[in-house]
Amino acid sequence: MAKYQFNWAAYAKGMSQVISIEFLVLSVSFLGFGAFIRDSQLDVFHGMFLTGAIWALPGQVVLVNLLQEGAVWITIAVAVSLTAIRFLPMMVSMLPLVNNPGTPRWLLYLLSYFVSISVWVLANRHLHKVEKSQRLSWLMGVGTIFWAAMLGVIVVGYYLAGFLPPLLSISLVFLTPTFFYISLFATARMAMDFLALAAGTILGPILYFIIPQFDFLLAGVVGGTAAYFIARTRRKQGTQE
Amino acid sequence: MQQALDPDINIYLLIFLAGCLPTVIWRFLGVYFGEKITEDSEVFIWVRAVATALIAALVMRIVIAPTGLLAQTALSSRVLALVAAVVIYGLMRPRFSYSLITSLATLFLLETAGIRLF
Repeated sequence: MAKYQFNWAAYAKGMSQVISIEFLVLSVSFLGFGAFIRDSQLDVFHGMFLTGAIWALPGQVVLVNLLQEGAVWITIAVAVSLTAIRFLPMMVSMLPLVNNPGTPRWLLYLLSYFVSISVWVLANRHLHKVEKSQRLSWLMGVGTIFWAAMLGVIVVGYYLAGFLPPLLSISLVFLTPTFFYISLFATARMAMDFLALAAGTILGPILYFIIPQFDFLLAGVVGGTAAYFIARTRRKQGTQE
Repeated sequence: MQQALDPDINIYLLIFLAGCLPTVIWRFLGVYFGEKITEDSEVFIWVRAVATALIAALVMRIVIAPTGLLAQTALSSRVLALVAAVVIYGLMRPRFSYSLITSLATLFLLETAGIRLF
């Protein structure tokens, strides 16, 4: 097996991504989450532990909501799990980009812990510019600095919540889904990506009214598969993207 | 009836069991399956389509049926804020900070003015 070298210079370069639109948006979202934690009668250390341990904003919001409603832990676990299923296809799509022969598996698993949607979006925009052997180190830099920084941001948000008008806090919370959605347009590379985006947008709401528990999961699998086959048929007919 | 926020149950343990573990398992499964796929394989393209559609649908869920603070806003405010963001992104591509500011301003102004269309 080839000897794997972790590249600390690339790691530092990854950390410099704190100057990026993704970091800015994530910071604003976590300011909102800090306000939400305060609103939920939890203390600031709960908020920090939640963020560090889960590191996925939708799941964190779901957990806090259900905790307040007094749900049993198994219900919370299932709900959080449903919001986190997206990490499976996200990691599957990211791995071939960072994996090299000889890369230790534990490092890949460690990397996956630090990957959130924001990190994934940033990776989709910039990873192709980084040399392949350095990508894992670079992405570890992005992931760990984002993770560490948000633990601080949430504290700021928690104490700032007393000063911000409530409507502004609410608007900040909406910034995260907006950012996710726009980033799908920004990272789309072929016709299929736009088809998948449209399919999820249309199928999601329809399925929500039929089977609310599995709406986005099913919309992802059914819509994504449909988009894939339509795009593939067109490719086969010679209409290249 | 469940007891709400019993201070005696260890909340940190609950966060770990019901928050951390259910999330990290999908990350690890993704790595497990991802190691078996190469970048240009058809499976890879399919998986990307599924991930894209899934995130689009997740956003739609937050727009239609949000939890927490967002639930206090009108559906029309959330829909219009997202539509505004997409339109502005279309005009200002590839920069997307303008679209985010537009979304934020749209939601904030519609809610402040109390305009509830649907």
